[in-house]
Amino acid sequence: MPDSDPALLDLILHAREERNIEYKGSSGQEPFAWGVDAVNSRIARTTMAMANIGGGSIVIGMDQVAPDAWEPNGVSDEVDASYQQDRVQEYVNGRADPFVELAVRHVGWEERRFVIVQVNGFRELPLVCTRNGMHLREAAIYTRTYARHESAEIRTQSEMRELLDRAIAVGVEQRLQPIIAALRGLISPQTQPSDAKRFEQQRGNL
Amino acid sequence: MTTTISETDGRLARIHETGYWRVLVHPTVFEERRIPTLRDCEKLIEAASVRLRGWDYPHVDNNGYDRGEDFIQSGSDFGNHVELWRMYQSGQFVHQFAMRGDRVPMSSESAHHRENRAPGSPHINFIDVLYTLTEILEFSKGLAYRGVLDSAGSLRIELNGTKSRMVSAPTGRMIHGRYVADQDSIGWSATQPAAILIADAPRLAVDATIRILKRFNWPEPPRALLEEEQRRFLERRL
Repeated sequence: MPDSDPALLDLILHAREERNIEYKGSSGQEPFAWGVDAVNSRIARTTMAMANIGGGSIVIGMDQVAPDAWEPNGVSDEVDASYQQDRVQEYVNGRADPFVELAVRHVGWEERRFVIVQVNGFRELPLVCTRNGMHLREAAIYTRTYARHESAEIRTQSEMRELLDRAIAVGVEQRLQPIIAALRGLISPQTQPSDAKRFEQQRGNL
Repeated sequence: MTTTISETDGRLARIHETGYWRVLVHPTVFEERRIPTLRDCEKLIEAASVRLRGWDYPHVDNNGYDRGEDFIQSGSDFGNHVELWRMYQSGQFVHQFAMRGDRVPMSSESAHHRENRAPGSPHINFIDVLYTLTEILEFSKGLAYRGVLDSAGSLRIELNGTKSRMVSAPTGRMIHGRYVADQDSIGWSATQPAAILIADAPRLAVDATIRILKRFNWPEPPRALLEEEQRRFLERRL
């Protein structure tokens, strides 16, 4: 049963790539089906890049009609079925260290089907590519560039600085969480609601 | 007349009598006392408030603010302006307001569109959508600029009561086509780095406008026209 979560539909209807949103076409020369090495390695590179900037989404089923315009045309049933959580996760994490947290979602909108790969930001350490491949290079650290919203190896000092800042922030936050919780006499961090949930609880019915 | 906390539920019920907007803006990380005091919340609203047309965003009623334990709020019930907003010390801003024109017909709706829609059927002025989103994004930019959103802001804007609502144009503007929503709730959400909000709020507002108008089954809302209208709006050349 395809998902119709409004937050996922928003990703489709955004119709413009962002640093944390990448679109992949459905009607180009090759259908963007999982199982083809060129496709798999591009998805793997993008998931690593997104994990390194704090997370993002890849939407498959969007056709580029102008330099900055995309149409939500969807994918065929075959392409849709080719993306399975286990297969994608196994492939990506066979090439990333430590590991990428991702979720494959199948979305339905106006009788069209889309695949969305959602990626969480890294939890402890930045992701490093561990194997060579068509669009992968062993030991590369990927990021999403600001200028063209593409996944590429870190090449500039500012990109490296951003990654290090994120790693420090994530690490410091993790180490401080138990201390803050203990000081406040709160429940353990494992059962603490997410930030989004806490904002939701705060506003109640408003 | 402002909205006291005890009147909140009643005001919300009145807002929900018609189509309405719901706006959420907050940092990505929850910190209960990000803004140290309620007085600081008031100063923040005064500093970040956007004044581009007769009704500022967000509008502070003549009676000022009402204070809760960790938030300030204000609201109005005046003609087409039926609204309630709240600013929490966590940096979370929540605003609900009735769609203008649902309660009192807007004089700015063009005769062409008034004639083209069924009597009594709801409509939404696409220029008003642009202006409203521009105000919301400019206000968010003000929050980001003052550090309230920290490194990134989460935005969610919803239009509720949109099913069968038709896009209309103000006097002097024409839309070639009849665009009607088939869903009762239309939303736009984004998480944007503070630097992007500060640098690019107008573009984000045009993007959001186009996204929302597309949900009214308008295939290609005119970006160039919207950008020009927005430029005039921001330069207060209306």
